[in-house]
Amino acid sequence: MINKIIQFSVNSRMFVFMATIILLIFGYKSFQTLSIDAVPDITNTQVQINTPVKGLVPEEIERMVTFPIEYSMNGIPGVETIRSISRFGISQVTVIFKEATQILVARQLVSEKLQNLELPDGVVPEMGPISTGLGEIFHYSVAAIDPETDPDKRLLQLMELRSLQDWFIKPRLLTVKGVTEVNTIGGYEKQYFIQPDIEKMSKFGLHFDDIEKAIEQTNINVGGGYIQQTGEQLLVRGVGLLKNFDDINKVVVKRLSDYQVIRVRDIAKVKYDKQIRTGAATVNGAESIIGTAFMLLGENSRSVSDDVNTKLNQIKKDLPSWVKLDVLYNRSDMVDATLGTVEHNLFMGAGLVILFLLMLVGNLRAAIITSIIIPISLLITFILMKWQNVSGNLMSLGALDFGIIVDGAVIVIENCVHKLQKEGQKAGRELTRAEVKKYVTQAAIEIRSAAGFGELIVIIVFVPLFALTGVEGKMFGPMAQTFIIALCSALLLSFTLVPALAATFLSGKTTDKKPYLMGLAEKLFAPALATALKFKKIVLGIGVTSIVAGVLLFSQMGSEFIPQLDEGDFALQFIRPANINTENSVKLQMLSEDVVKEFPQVKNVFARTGAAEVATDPMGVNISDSYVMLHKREDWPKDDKIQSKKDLIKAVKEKLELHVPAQVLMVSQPVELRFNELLEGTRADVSAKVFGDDLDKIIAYSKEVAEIVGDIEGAGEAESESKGKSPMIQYTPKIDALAQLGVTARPVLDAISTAIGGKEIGHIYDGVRKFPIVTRLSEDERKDVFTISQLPVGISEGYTVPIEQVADINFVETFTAVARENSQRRVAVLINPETRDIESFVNEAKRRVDEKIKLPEGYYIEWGGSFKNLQSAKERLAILVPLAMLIIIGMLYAAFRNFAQVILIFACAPMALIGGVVSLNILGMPFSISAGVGFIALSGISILNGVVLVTYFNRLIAEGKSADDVVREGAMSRLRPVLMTALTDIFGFLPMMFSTGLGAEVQKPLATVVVGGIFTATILTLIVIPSLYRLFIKFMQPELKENLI
Amino acid sequence: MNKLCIIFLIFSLTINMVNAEEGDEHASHDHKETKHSKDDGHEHNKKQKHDEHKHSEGHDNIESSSSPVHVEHTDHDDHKEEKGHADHGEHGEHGGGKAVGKGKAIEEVDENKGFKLSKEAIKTLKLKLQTVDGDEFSIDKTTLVSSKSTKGLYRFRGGFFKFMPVELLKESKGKYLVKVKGVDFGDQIVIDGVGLLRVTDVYSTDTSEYGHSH
Repeated sequence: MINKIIQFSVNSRMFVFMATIILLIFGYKSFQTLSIDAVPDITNTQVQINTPVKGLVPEEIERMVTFPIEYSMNGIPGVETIRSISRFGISQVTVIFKEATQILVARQLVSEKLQNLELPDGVVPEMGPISTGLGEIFHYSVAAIDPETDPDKRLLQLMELRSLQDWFIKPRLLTVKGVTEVNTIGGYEKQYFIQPDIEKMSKFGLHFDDIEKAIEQTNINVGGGYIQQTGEQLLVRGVGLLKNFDDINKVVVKRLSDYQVIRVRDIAKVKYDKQIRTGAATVNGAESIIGTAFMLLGENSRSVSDDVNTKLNQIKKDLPSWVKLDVLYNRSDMVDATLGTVEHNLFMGAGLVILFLLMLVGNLRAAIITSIIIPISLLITFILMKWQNVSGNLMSLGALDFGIIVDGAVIVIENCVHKLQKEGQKAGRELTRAEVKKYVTQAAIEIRSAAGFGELIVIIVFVPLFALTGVEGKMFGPMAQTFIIALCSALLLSFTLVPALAATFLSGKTTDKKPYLMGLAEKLFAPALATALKFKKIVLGIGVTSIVAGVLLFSQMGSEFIPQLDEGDFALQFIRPANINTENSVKLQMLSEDVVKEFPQVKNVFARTGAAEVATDPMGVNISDSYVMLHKREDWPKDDKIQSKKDLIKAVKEKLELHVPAQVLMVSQPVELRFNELLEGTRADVSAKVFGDDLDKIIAYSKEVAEIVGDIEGAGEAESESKGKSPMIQYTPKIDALAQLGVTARPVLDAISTAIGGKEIGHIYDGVRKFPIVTRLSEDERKDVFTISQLPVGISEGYTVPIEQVADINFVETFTAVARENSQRRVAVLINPETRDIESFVNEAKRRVDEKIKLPEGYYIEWGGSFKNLQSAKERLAILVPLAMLIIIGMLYAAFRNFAQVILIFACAPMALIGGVVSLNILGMPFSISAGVGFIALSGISILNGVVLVTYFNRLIAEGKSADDVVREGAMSRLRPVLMTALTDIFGFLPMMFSTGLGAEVQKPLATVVVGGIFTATILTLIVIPSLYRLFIKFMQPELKENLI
Repeated sequence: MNKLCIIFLIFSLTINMVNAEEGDEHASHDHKETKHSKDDGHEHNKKQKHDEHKHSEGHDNIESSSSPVHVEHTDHDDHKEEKGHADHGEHGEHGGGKAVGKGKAIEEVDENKGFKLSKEAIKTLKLKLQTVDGDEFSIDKTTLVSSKSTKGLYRFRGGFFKFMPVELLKESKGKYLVKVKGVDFGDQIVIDGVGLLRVTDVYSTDTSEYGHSH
């Protein structure tokens, strides 16, 4: 089959060239439309259900809202995990589905369940946006160019800004293709407040619902149909809608028995005031409004964020002159920077590969033919990636090594050159084009097994990566897919385009000139080989020792899932006392931002405190997520001591801790923070989740765990997620007192809800924009304990009593939040280990916690975080990699029909281990799945080298040469292809190994393992394989005649 | 003897001022003595009836029998801190612990003295101090700290801030006449930035919030 393909390609070269050109065009088109992102989207299929709940404490929300929702979700097919959080004002349930579930199907199933759910009156659950952890692609701020200094004017300014965002910017942004939601946080919603004076209300015997009724009965428009006159028709309407403060002030609340008319202005102040906020936003130390654009699941983040940016630029032109709109975070910056690193590594690698091909082949035309394979195979890869919906990112494209990819082509072209030169020498003249075609065909067919077989082995070792599931599957599946696609493309080209090009362009007087580098290599190799063949047993010892050393070193290495991607910028999470109020939390945040902004490396710092409008992340107001955006590294002051991100983070943290009290800091990165939250329900790299029924107990245990873990070396930050209890004023109606008055508890509860919580009693329209009219006590009165004990409770018409007479008022404490997972309460300990590999840290942490904490029955601790992905990947690979190796052994046996030879070839794989392990140790990297992929690739490449050598030895044996001649001549002769493949592999990955660009750290372990491994594998293969082949020649060639041994 | 007393008072005052300046060379110190006439009287506003208690030093939150709101669960300040929890000064930040210690904004926490801030933190919080000349003086309403049913203010003595419950004697335009047990001649009180100071106090002394770091 392959022979026929080769023959056809050589004979129908024009067809091959045309087909290649068509593929190039398609490849380019595919590249242009390929989904591009920085990293693979590892978010699971999940649906968030957000339910705003007023007036209930977290434990009640858990019981009355969260639990019923959770319970109803349990029956949905394909549900894997359900977790929830209940905190003041909101319940959020996250339903996680099995991997294969389509998001729209999942949402449909959830929606159906929600429709049949019975929840307390007025409680309406809503599903979150169809987005993922990579969804928050764009943050922008809307602020005043000159912020007002007067507090009242500033309040109005913030309201205007918020209105602009809600009614002008957001609707236009939602028209951008690929944007599923625009979330807003910060500023104040414009609200018309009616603030009753409770003394006056008591004096006139007014109830809070009197105001409500008055507004409701006034603030309406009615239609009167139409009337017909002689020849005309007139529409009729009654206009009662209120338009402004004056209108509200004039509304009649009541007419007293003495005919005195009480209007709103007689008993209340009407003004703009601060709404009760659940969140706020700050930018560079000032309050602001932050808008966040969410990308629809599956869209291309770079193009969507670019479109959002373009749209915002259009919107900017239409904004009032006093308003500024600034971009705070644009995902395409990160994507561009990351792909810039990939691009740099790929092109540098490809350039080095081409350079070394020239230096080693010594034939310019042959080198050019091999080099051409690189861009062509890449473009073909794009076609297949597009077809397979594999996005171009750091993991998929970043793992490509053109050195490995062109190995097949290198082997084929090297043999063609070798053959042409040999046949030319034999003929003693320049070969004709027909002869060139013939010998090229023969050379390609001759080497097809070694080239094809070797590449096939490299492909097979990558296959186990497809078996990875979950996060690890999403990370490494596309990598394996892309690598295999690229390898297959290159392999196909090796048997089609390479022979076609060779037959067309290689000269008939091809001379196999020995380049200087090759000559030097042979000069060094010849005596080394001779010595090795003399001391074969010592060589055997060296081989075995290196394998043992490699295994020993490997077993002592620390492990992590994958190295942390450096997103360029960083995030700071501030955790403050649970009972801090919004205003003070915002003040502390602004002070913190002032401190951070003092660093010249910082471009912008912005934060979200508490929860946004769409509570995708329902934080309490005691938590702020800050994003610290940095200037480009080249713009950092050169004379400053801080020259790395790590140093900057350390300095920022130290300064913040010294300058701003009352907060705990956790360092993360924007995307990482979101991924951790969505995957684990916590925002740390490692979490210890304490499960149990009694919240007090699990909080106490979580604090003990945090304390134990915090003392472990390299723990970094360890913090219990729960900040305990928060004080609360609790009104309990006095049933007996109410019974004496003959009323129910409802008026008492209504008074609390309206006067303190505020009640929306209508709207004022400004065009299509509508703003609520809210009745509530003034801020000064709300915070006065005495005043709120005197709230008038309507007992009967014209009669009120102070609330303290009909209700007990107590300070109690309540939990700030209740988190659940799989139907059980849990409190997590958040840990971000520093300066240590995660696996060893978690192992030590588990051991210490198990030793020191004995949990009662029904209570247990589960550890979560990226190490779980590492464990799961390791478990699967521990089965599948050996299985792949067994398949390779089977393939080798099928090809060589000799167990000794198979074992010899297979020995190349462990010999490569030592180089990989040593190079990881030298660069101070722990084992990671990235490094694991490197080892997998390495084993394939080293086996490929073994195959090349042993095949040639067998050929020489078949030619009747003696054992000594076979190993000497064979090793010398195969030095060039082995060195070529090795050096191209090494140089293909070298730029990646030493890259410092954004995202470089993720693929560094892979490159380090391959470069180090191939280095030792090549030396050992070239020395050990010939020696062992010779040493065990009886086993290698049992039928070899005695005189030849 | 009188001279000796005066010298001692001046000496104490100087030490206090030096400490304060050491603590915050940038914080604005208002050393104007607050004068209040003797005829301020002790007429209590009806709203402040619940504050008419004896407040013992070190106890921030004292329940009032006449208060409209009852403290059902005792506040953290009611607890006598266990030995070992009170003084965080020698401990750096551990996992699960607070940022208290040298190099942190809160340098030391002492059950009796209160908490000590770094000079940088004092500057950041923009705290303003005022020296008082006895336990009875007039303050701006913004100086008063409300915590549940308790009213108080922050005393600055020997580099430490401490919440001191106050007895409100009289309310006039934007001012309160207060009596504070535990504040003496030469002490300073915090007159600006009390909101964030209260948060810092809660953070540093409330064991229920952050657990123990040691």
